[in-house]
Amino acid sequence: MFRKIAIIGCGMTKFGRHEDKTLTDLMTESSLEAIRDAGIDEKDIGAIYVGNMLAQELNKQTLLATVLADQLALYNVAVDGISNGTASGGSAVRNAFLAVASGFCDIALVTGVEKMRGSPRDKVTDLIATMSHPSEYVQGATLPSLAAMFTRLYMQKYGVERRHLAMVAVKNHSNALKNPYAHIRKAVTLEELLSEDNPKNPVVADPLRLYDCCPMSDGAASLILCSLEEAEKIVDTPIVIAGIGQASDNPVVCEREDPTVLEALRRASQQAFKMAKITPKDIDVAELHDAFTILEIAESEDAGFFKKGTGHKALEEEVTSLDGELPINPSGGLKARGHPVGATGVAQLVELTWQLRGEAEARQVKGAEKAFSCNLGGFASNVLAFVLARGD
Amino acid sequence: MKGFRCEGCGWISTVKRVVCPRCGGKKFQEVYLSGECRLLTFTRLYAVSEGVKDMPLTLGVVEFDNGARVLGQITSEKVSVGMKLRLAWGLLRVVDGKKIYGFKFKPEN
Ligand SMILES: [Zn+2]
Repeated sequence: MFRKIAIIGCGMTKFGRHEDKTLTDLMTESSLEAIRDAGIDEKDIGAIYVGNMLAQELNKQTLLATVLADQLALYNVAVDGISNGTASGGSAVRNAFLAVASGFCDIALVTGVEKMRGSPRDKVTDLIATMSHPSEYVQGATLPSLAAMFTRLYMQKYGVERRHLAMVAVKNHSNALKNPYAHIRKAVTLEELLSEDNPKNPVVADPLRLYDCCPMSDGAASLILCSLEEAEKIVDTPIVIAGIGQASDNPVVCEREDPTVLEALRRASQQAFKMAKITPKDIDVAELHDAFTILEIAESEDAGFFKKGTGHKALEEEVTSLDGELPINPSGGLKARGHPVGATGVAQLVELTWQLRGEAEARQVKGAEKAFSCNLGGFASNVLAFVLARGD
Repeated sequence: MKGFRCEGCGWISTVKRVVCPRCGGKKFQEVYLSGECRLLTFTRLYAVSEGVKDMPLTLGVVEFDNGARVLGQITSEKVSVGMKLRLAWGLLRVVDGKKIYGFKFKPEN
């Protein structure tokens, strides 16, 4: 069996628009912050994993991990790029975990990065849409259109209403106001979002409007992973990666037995909880992949926190608010922290590390000891789930 | 429209596979989807991809009588869940400068 692994350092850039910074600047900035945070020397790093989805097309750059290793002058270690759609960040973390857990190296740096803002919106939309099945891509399907059709089914089947979608946005925007790293730091009200003719909230794909969709962002996030045994000598509060799960599903969403169920998330979370030997009831705080407001509701159910079809009720009863029983997306989530796609899976774990260390400042979930995140590739056709726990 | 019917469980998909996702069967029979189908869900998309002309683009998921579910463009913006549709043929989009034609759905009459 493999070694226990802990997060000993984390860092991220502000998410948002970074016209003046290159991909290299972004990934170097977050990596250096994670190295500084861990209190290690870059020479202690035995492997580098970089998660990214779009750099080849949008930034005309590949081999990002090599460039990062060059920045750190680390020429004698394995460096790999990991691309797994919008789950690239989560996949990079999983690969770094395996490298350290197997004993192949002692300390690994994992960085997720994306720079999307400088490119035409319809081009980025199209590249993201390549995650759909080829049979749907040729029809012009995009992720927002898949989410919209999913939302309509959800509304019919479970009684979710537009106001519930708006509640997700209001909550996550409010949390992001307390997060200096968030892309969008602007409060929104239910009234504004439910107005039919608010020019700032146009229909993107009915029934979804602009504020139901996450923004496209630039940014990077990094973690330093180390064996728990070593971690205890290096830092006061190592955060243990107690469980990891990964599963996939039919990429043709409409062909799924019940198209309102995110089966890959169910499988991945069950794997992660089983490995951590805990249940969803033990979780104190969660970062979910709310690329669209409906997804936060659906994921809160399929990850195992609420019975299917009742996530919107928990939301309405403020169970998932910052001061509720199970705060979801204290960072603001993809909705408001932003979604630089390759960085997201890493950024979720950066936020949870801060939460478990008690360093999340104004958005701190009091006494959080166990945390959960999920990172979705495509329309939940490839999903990673993580369980983190305080090491003490 | 071509489909593939699993000989093990009867499930029909428009995607050619070697193993059936439902029952693990490995034998498939080619079938043709035609006639009437029913709209299960839809959207009118205003943020279209590069290479898509229609604005909004109406997309929907239909179900045929044999249970096959397919996502496709719908030729009208006036749609509602449960409405009957039929197959049509036309230009879907442009990919890398190449025009892609394929099946779409149109309201009955
Ligand atoms: Zn079968």
